[in-house]
Amino acid sequence: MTLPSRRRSVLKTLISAAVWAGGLLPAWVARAAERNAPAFDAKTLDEGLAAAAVADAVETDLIVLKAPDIAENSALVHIEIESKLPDTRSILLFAEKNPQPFVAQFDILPGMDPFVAVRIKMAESAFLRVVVRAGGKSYVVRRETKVTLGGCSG
Amino acid sequence: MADPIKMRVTLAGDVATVKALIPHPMETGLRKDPVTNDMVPIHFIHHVVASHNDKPVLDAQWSRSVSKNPFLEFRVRGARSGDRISIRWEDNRGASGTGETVIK
Repeated sequence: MTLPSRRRSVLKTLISAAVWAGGLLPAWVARAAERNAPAFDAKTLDEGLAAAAVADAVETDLIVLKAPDIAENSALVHIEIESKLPDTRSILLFAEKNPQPFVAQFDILPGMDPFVAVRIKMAESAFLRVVVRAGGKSYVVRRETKVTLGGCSG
Repeated sequence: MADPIKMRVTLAGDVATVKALIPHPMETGLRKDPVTNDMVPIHFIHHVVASHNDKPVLDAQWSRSVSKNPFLEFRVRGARSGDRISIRWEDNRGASGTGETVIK
């Protein structure tokens, strides 16, 4: 059977989803269905923020965003995020000039501290933007990181 | 089969700091193969769940912008020696992997 590779990967996804739905980790499957594809697929920051429903985030100093001023390797930019906002539910990370600016979303479930560290690729020097959903509202901090070479090729 | 996830956990009081490295190419779909000159197809982890004694504590959605062989650090509260920390990922092709470690 020769399917175009795209269709095959869709099929694979469907099959694996069906396997999981067979009883293994139902919570995993339920959450996996919630991926906000329009936000992740958005090609501009404004579209991404709107699709993630965080365009109205309020500036705060209760989110700590650690990132290098100048990244030596744009394919490995180390970022640490800590929220001091009560009732932090989600941490959303954007690299404002990446081809798709929405980099990652971390949902903080009970039992976890509102802290994550991750390494990302940056296409060019840009502001990083962290939005935290806490107590039913959205809050934002921004920080500029310069890169010497683009990271999306590496 | 994917290579195993490398995990290191340090316990301070009841807070377990978990550092993990997940072997994965994390291809953006924007890179050319230097030999064949063809575009390397997009291939990235899009979902990660970390659990403490099988109870999910972190549920992450990722894009292709997360680095190759992703590094992830997080902190679990209410942890004790002997508890299990596990990570499970799934990529855009439907492949998945898991890793588990016991807190010392």
